[in-house]
Amino acid sequence: MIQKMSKIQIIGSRRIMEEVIEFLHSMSMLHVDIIPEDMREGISYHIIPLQRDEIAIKERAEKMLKKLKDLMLLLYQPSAQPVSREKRFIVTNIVSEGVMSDYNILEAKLRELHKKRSELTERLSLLERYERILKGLAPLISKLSGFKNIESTGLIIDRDKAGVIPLMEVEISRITEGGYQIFKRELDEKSIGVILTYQKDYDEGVRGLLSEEGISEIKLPADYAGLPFFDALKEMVRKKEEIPKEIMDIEAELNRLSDEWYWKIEELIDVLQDLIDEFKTLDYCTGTKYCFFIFGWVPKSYLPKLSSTIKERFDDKVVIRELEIMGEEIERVPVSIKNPKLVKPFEIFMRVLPPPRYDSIDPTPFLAIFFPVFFGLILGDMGHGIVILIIVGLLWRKYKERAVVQDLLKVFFLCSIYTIIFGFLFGEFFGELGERLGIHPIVLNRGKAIKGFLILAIGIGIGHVLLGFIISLINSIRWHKGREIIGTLSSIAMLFTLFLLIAALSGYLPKGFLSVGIILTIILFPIILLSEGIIGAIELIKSIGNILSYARIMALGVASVMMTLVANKLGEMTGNIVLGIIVASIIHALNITIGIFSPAIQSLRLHYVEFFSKFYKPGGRKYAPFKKTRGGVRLWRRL
Amino acid sequence: MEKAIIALAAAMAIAVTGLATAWAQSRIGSAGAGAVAEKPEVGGTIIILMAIPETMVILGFVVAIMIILGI
Repeated sequence: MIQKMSKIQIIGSRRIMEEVIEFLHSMSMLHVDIIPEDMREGISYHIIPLQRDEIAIKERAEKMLKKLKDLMLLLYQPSAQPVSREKRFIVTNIVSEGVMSDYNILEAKLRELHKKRSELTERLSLLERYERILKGLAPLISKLSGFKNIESTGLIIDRDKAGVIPLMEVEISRITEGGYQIFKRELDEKSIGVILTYQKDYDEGVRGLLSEEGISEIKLPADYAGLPFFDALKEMVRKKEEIPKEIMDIEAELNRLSDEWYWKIEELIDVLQDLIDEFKTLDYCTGTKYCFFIFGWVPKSYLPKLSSTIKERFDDKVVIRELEIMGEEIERVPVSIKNPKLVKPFEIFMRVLPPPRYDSIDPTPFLAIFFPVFFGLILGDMGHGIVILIIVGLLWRKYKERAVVQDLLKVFFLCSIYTIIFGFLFGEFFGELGERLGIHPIVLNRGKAIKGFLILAIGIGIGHVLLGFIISLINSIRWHKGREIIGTLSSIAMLFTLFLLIAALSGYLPKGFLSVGIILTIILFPIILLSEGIIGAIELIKSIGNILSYARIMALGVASVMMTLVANKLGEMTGNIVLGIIVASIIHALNITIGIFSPAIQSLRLHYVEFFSKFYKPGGRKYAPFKKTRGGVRLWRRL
Repeated sequence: MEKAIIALAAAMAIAVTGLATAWAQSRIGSAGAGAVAEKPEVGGTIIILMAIPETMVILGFVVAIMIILGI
């Protein structure tokens, strides 16, 4: 729900301005704002400029913050967070050059380690590309040890061309006058690795032969290009064994440095951010020669606490004045949303929309009521509901630390409960399996009573859309918006008239109602045009489409029933109990997976497009209190 | 014969709206994929946008049901 806000002005002595700002910062309640033009009239307010030393500290803090943020990217986040013991931070210290020297040394060290690690990783991945060759030829390296004044070359020959090896041997024997050795080894199913060794004197002849016959030599990485093939291979094997250890050593050093520095730097970043925020807030302060003014907003419920705390701390040196919120200011009022514990998890779905305006309504409570109901109506199967409940239970333990996942799980917990309830009402337990177990439909059989289900869905649509109009009407009355009240009332009346006309035309009501409907249309339509313009008329037609759109509850519900029917029928058709259970389980699992996403998306869509459009006004400013990131740390700016 | 025409009409109601929805979703989907690649936080909005053209096929489905059931 949107909290009531108070527009306040804090007035105090210029001498204690910084102290008050720091106090307000630690209170984390005030949404600081620019002083409106109308309030400036009559008094010679002026913006209080930062002093030279303050400008120096601010610039230094911004520079340090940027550097430290960059430094954080080079560190790993250690698992355990230590309890901070630092309670005060001497701000003037940061102006001295020496304060960053430790961080400069750390940065140089970290960059060097990262550079070395990426070089090693690159070299390792290069060597891994030669994995097949190294693995295949490594055993030959030991055989070749001890040879001197010999040249060696590596060849890869396709297995289906293995016949070329004896012919090549004959030719090489001729060139080297028998002074050669050849080693063969299968590299994989397709190729054979060959190492050829011979005296250096015959190098030119041998290479000439290989080139003439189109036998390609193994090309080694550039790092090893200068070495003889045999030596290069040996070096590569050695390096490949050494690099992982070197990388591990670097990782260990990075972890050690992260353990030592990560939380210290994070704390300093928070403190600097808080400090910069305080300087920025000074930009919003206005003053005369002797006093300062801060203008802002607080939720009305916070105001007594803020006033009493300020009174306690500063006595009469600081005064809080509550001002009247003018009509033209409504759009500027920051919006603070606070919902009960049960509704709060549904705020996650409101994050995709811009915040509502202050004079609008927070739709989260309505979403919390209707979203699980629509979900349950669409999925409506006890078996599926129980499976979702189990999944929620399993994930609950796993993601205890992640607030977003926890919120989603709470939502799906409620959805699963409604799915079980509607499953019971529709007599569905993994489709028609419930019927076989003695569970019968209480409300309707979704698989057969398609017309009844369609009427139910459209009926829900009429109710939901009308509720949207009623919420809009109540809100218009609350904010005394006469024109909107007339517009919404005539839209509701016109909607009823349209239903009357449809019912009379299709014979559900006596023909006499037709003339009543026509007279009402003649009266109401111009009122809508006058109060809301042509848009109002278009909106009315859109509302009919909105209502019909609720047919998706029926459409997706029937689709879900049919999927379960198919799962069970296919399971039966196998003629084997075990196989049948497996087949049915696979299709049921698929249906549940679709059943989690599709009803959720469609229910959300019904809310966002069909329901919210009747009363939700986006475009509000989010309430962003002047809040300390690192609570409990005092920033000593003036010493 | 009449039964066949009713079936054909219902099929047409679904088929045409289905094609229209598919075409709209393909356009939204490709634009949405691009948007998500640049700004992953808009993922939720894109999923909702993808669901909007489904109204057409849902309405087609309703019309088809009305044709078949003779409402």
